[in-house]
Formats: sequence, C-alpha cells, structure tokens
Amino acid sequence: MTATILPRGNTPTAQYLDQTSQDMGHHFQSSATFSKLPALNELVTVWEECKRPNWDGYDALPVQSAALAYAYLLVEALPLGFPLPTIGAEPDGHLTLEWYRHSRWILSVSISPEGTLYYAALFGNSDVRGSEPFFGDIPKAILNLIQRVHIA
Amino acid sequence: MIDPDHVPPIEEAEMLARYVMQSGHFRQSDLTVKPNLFIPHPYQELSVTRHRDASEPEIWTAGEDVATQQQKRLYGRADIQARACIVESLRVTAKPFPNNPNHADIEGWPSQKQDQKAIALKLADAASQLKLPPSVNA
Repeated sequence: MTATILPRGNTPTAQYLDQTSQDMGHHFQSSATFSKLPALNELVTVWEECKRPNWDGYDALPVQSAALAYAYLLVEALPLGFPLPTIGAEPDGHLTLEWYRHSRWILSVSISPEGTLYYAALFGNSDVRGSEPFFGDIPKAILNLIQRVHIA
Repeated sequence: MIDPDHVPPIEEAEMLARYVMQSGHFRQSDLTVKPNLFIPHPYQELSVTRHRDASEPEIWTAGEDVATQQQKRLYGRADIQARACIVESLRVTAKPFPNNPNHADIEGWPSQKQDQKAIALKLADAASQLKLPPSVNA
C-alpha cells in the first residue's frame, strides 16, 4: 500500500526531488504505522488468545491467520487522524474492530477469513448494518460510520 | 433453583445471566460487556441461566460449573432482562439441563452475520455491567 513515485527526469534537480519524495513517503509511512501500533499490538494479542478452539468457553471456532492478515491490513488502511479501534474476536472465528463511545453509540466491524467485512452500528435507537468486500481500502460506508461514532 | 420437574415458561420480567469466560468480552475501562459476548455461533442459540428461584450463590455456582467444565476462567457474568432479549426474531426458551434446571436459550437468530451483530449490539446495550464472581470480590 505504498505509493509509487514516478521519476521526474534525469537532471540532478529531478533526482533530488525524487529522492526527497521517497524519503518523505517512507517517513509518513513509518509514522502512520507507528501511530497505529497500539491497535496492531492488540490485534496480535487477541489473535494469540483466540487462535485455539473454544477460546470463549462456548465452543468458539479458532481465529484463523487469514482473518488476522485482513484485520492488519484494515488497521493499516485507516486514514491518518481516524480514531483507532479496539480489537476483539467472535465465536465464528472473525476478528472485530470496535469504535465505541458508549453502548448506544458504537460501530462493530467483523473481518472474516475470506476478507468480508460485516458491520453493525447503533446510534441511539437506530441501527445501521451491512457487509462489504475488503480489497485493501476501507469502504466509504464504514469510514462514514467511524466518523459518526466520534462526532458529537 | 427451579424445580426440575416443574420448569415454568420464561416471563418477560425475569433476569438472565450470561457468563463471561473471555477477557475480550468486556471493557476493562468501565466493565461494560461487548456485543461479541452475544454472538451465538457455532450454535443457533445463546446459552443463559435464569435467575428465577436461584440464590446469588446458586447463580454463581452454575457459572463456575460451566467454566470448570470448559477449563476456562470465570471473569464474571452480565445480567439481562428476558424482555430485552425479545428483539427482532429472538425469543427465550427454557432448556433445563440435568445439572442446571435454570438453563435457557435465546433462540431465533437470523442467519445473516450483520443482522446477528446488530442484535448483539442491542443485547450488550441492555445488559448489566460485568458482575465479578464472589471469589474476586472477597
């Protein structure tokens, strides 16, 4: 998911600009990853706890590494400035990302091992629900819900 | 506990307990329970224990029995009124076990995952905060 920067030419100035762009790109990429570290660490912790059958005491399926990989990409794909989710798991082996203000103002997104996102949100007495395939970019519908959870 | 030979149908005002055996099923910050606790998979129903005719120690014993049987730690329980579980297609049905006459199931879950999640959000909202086992409170 790193952007490719096309060469500007062979002059020293063009090469300088290319190199600077590359350096800045790496800097922003590492900054973005760094800012997401709490969620990424939590993701790995939850997966470690839930990768074996019956992790919940109610016969849950194990969370597969494919779900972990998709969840990792999803956190990485969060635009800068968006709030980080907390991580959980569901008994069908999905990982969940949760954006929570309180119990009636909440978004939960499940990530299946096949890369499908299932989401539901509660805003007071109304709910929103749906599913979307995940191809590396977070669907706009879900980005809008994340913003809605955190806007007063 | 309920007389196993005379198990009454569930009334809307009854309280039900859902036992928590996974640390990720509640928020450490405020002890509210997460919707994940109420996703029914792999079964078509969600296990709960009725408070009816049970003392507090008996409700906890039922949870400790489940945790012991599953070799899990019992973090606590969340209580929810039966009325709050009658949402969308759901219903609550008495399903006594030989060792737990108060056992019941929340049944009638939709098949679509996003619909299950939307209901789970509502159940988590209606449920109590995590109640800690007496052994933790002691």
